[in-house]
Amino acid sequence: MYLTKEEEKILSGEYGPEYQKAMKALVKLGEAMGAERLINIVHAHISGISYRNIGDAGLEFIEELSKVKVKVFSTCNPAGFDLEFWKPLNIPREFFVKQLRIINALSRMGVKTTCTCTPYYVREPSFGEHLAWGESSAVLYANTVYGARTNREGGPSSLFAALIGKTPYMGMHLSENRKPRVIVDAEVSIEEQAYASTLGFIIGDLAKDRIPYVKTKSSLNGKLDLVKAMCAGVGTSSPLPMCIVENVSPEAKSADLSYVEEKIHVEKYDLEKYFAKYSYSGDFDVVFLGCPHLTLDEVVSVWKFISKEKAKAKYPVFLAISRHMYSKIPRNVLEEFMKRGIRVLRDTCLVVAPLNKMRISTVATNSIKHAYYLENIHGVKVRLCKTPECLKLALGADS
Amino acid sequence: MIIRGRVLVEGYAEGEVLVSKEPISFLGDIDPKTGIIVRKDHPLRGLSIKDKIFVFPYGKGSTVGSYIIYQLAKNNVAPKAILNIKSEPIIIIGCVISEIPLMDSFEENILEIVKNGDYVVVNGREGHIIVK
Repeated sequence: MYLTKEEEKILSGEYGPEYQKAMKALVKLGEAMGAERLINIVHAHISGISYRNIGDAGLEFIEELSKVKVKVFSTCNPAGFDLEFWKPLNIPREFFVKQLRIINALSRMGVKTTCTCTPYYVREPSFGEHLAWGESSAVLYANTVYGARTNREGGPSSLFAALIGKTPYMGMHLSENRKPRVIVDAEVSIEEQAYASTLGFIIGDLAKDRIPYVKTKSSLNGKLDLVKAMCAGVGTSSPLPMCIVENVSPEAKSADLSYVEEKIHVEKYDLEKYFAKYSYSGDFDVVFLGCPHLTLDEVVSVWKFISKEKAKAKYPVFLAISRHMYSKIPRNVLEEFMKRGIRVLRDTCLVVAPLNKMRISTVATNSIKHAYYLENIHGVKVRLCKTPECLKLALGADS
Repeated sequence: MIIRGRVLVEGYAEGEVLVSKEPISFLGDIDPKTGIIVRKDHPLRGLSIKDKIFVFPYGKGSTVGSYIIYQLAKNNVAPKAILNIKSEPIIIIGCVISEIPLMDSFEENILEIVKNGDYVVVNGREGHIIVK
């Protein structure tokens, strides 16, 4: 791989062992994937910062690098708890301390500790911009919705890219790798998040590593909250960094379809199989909405829904949201949530939280990504259901 | 039998093969403390990838997977090497920081050639594997 003189200096350790380690790893990654050189990025998003999922090994890994600063605007993924609201949720002391060590290490490096899987609401990417993002759902959203360019960086490589301000020039950074190779015709109306995320999961499962050109029965134009949910589903079942969605993706109109090798049909029946798979019924420890983190619109629609039903929640409801978006929620909405037993959690989600310690073992959610990881990482019993059904379950609509 | 492939992370390993025909999300599919496959609907659920030559088509899912590979290595339950049809950045960077030999793009479909329990030599210097 070609390196500039400056990059060679970093590689030889002239700027210290931390930058050297980062550069060595990026060069190895680039050489493995056949990159000719590194390219400047404008935003690194760092995944893998929850103590629950990276453990002591990850904590030490990040702390060892934290003597030096990042070179570009950098944000980070959710942590194991809401940094300002953790005590009532039974977060163990040791977990709390170790999670804070991770956050503090990132902070020392100059990372904005946004703790969200939706960094595109913190800083909106532009078309064609080069990024180095971790978090599969955010990578998909950046490439699909903004036409920005990022590979699926692993947690460590997103951190290395932040430190160097560059990433190997390969994969999604190159136009020739952004061509659709399969067409997905979804003959199903997508009107809320559970269906959108499940459709995404199926698309990822069937498209495998081939970028899909996605057509849906009703246009997803202007329904970005649903595209967000769909991206999270795709990222769970596949290695895909991007979809091209008709009427949504800036690259849809000019898409070169000459490389398409297969056309896949998805019907309502295909989606319903997944609802049957995650069909736990019984009492719920938590009803969870917010994977990916909610938008203000989504929060307001929950508020509108509960305004129609009068009861206090029968099961605790957790809404997960970024600190950034939280600051935009009107006070009266938050007060109403509080009265009705609905918690708005910042900085976190259930996948990255210490659920066994929090005594959470049964969950209803509208996100197939949450369903998948909750079942497999945490052994949680899950019910996947549409957004209004989740709320009806919680608000005791035995009616 | 010698099969040539692309070296992504250099190294040498030999051992028994464990083949997952399904793609792997290290987060969610593998327990980082034990190396055991834990995904509920995975055909190899309950088996360990510790000290195996772990073969699967490609990585999928969470970008935290690289840290799961790193934890496996720190906990001494990592596979000796990983062989893919096609690797992606999450697996590659995980193997880079954990120093696990990684190869992909073999001249033949290794998922059809190697079987569970086969003994395989991974020569991640010369760029080939030997199936014994």
